[in-house]
Amino acid sequence: MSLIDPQLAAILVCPVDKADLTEDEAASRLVCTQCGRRYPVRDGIPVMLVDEADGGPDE
Amino acid sequence: MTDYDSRRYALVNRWDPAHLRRIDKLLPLRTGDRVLEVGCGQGHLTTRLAERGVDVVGIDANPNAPEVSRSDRVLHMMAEDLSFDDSEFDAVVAVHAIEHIPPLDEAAAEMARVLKPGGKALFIYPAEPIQGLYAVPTSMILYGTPFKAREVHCQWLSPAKVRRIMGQHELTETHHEFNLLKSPQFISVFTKASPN
Repeated sequence: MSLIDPQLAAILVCPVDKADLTEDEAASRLVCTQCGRRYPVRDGIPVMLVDEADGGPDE
Repeated sequence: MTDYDSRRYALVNRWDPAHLRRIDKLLPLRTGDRVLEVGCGQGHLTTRLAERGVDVVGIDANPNAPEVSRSDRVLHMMAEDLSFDDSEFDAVVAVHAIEHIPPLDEAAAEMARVLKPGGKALFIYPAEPIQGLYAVPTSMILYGTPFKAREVHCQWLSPAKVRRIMGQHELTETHHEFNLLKSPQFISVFTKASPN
């Protein structure tokens, strides 16, 4: 069971550096493999906004 | 800058089947084609394309859009910061959307980036005799006054201007038209340059 539709997961990248994402199912987040920003998945909908992400180089 | 956080605005836009008829005429979309709809609102078009088997994703600046949509292919995302890899889509469509995007040049660059070489972009946008004229109802919904219509339609566009913006991002115009569907509007179609 994955967090989001696998077809959608296949095309989503981090909006900052366009790097691939991995799923953190326990935390319901998509994590950037490059900058480490964590994007929330709310009710199955990934929120791919920099302002909504935690982590990454700024923190 | 316009604040698109209004839930009411996410719900208010109605479906106009004429848009899909023009898209079908100008941009044949086949089952399995990967399509990005920019400014999809509650996802009228995204939902209908998905029902036909098009592999479509809709994005909107309004955070309420995914929730009020019937489709699970609607995401909250900004056109100038697309969260998709390069060359992912066969087509990008934006219906009454680009006139709302303040950083339109950045959004054009992003839309071109995610298009495959040879991919097509189709834009439907208002043919306003005065900037903001057709945004007065939206201005009333978002702000309760007609005087912010030019913030809503922050871009006053013509096919020549759209051609100039898109041309800077390897998008070549293949068609444009003026029509009077429900309101006077332009449609422009572009193709992304292929390497050969």
